[in-house]
Amino acid sequence: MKHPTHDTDPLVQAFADRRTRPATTEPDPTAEDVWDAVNGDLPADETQHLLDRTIADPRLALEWRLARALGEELRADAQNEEQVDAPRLRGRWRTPLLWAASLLFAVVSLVYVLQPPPDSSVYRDPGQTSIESQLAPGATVDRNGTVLRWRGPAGARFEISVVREDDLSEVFAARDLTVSEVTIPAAVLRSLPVDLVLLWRVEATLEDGTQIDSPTFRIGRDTMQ
Amino acid sequence: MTDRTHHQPAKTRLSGLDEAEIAQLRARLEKAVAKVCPAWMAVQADDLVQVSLLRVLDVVAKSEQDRTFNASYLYRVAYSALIDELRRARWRREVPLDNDQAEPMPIEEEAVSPEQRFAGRQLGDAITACLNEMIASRRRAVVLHLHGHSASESARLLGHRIKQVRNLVYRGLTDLRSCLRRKGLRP
Repeated sequence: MKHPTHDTDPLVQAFADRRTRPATTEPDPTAEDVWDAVNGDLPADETQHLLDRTIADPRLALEWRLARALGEELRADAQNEEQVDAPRLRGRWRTPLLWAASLLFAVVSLVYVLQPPPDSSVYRDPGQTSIESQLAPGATVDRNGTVLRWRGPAGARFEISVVREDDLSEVFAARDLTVSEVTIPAAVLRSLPVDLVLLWRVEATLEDGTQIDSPTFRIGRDTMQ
Repeated sequence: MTDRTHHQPAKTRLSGLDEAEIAQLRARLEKAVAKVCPAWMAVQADDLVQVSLLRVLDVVAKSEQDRTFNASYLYRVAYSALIDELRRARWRREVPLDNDQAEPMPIEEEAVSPEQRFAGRQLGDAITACLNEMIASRRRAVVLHLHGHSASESARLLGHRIKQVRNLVYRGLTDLRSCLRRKGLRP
């Protein structure tokens, strides 16, 4: 059998590789319960309880991931079935349906074109506005080195984390910053795929120890040419 | 394979499933096991798949002749068999989980130095500790992410909106990385 493909995110890999024996006297859940939990067929509180147990119990975590992987194969199976069934669409309904689909596509495209451009920040939390991005709207990533700027509380120390949007793996981080900007080195940016979107977030620690989180900012895509 | 009534190929005498369906189920099982099985389990992966497949065929063979099975049921049976076998192997100590137990490791494990193994264990313990410190909503979103769930899958399991889950995962991962750095670790 082919050796398993290791995940690109070291955190995911390290979490999967844990082998500590759990200190629990709780009996193992049934395989059916794990399957049902992973596939959304168990009550929410029981699902959350099982999920919490996977933190302390790497063996149960493995069983959870196995259920998820097999569930994914099941859905792939179902998708193949649908694709096989699709050509069966024949007869008098075929042409009207194609026309309807075309019309729907045209309407959706028009709505998309007419809507205002999206905000450059995503996942914005209106309750946390003490740290703001100082990048201009539509600011671009320069693969020769990109400066991220923000405005935050005076005298704070900042920690910044930049992650890939696709798998949330961290590509750059800096801490104990006393200035409100940091440069992502060119070497980091050049090692990334061209069309990648990055998310970045700042955490400020005030002199009294209070911590303030920024919203999550977004940068990338066509700007990373 | 979602509904046996839609298929009319020749069935194998023993199982009631046709050969193509058995081959497909085997391939799916192999793929799922290969995707998640750690190096120390790789040597047993083929056996796990074989036992699981036999259990499915047995269940189908023992059923009434005209009974139909949907794919969801067959996969659930296959998963149950996989887990039974996995746990049995664990009980027989064929799959040692503690590094403290000086039992022989599978071939893949020998490529890992004791230092790497120690570092891996240290990181794993730290991740567990950091997750336990995290607020519950972020922790669950992060754990699902670490288990490989997409945002839409997590949203369904947690009863949140997708955007909310992405936010929880992002913030939770930031918390996790900060916590690991405080412990002097950087994965």
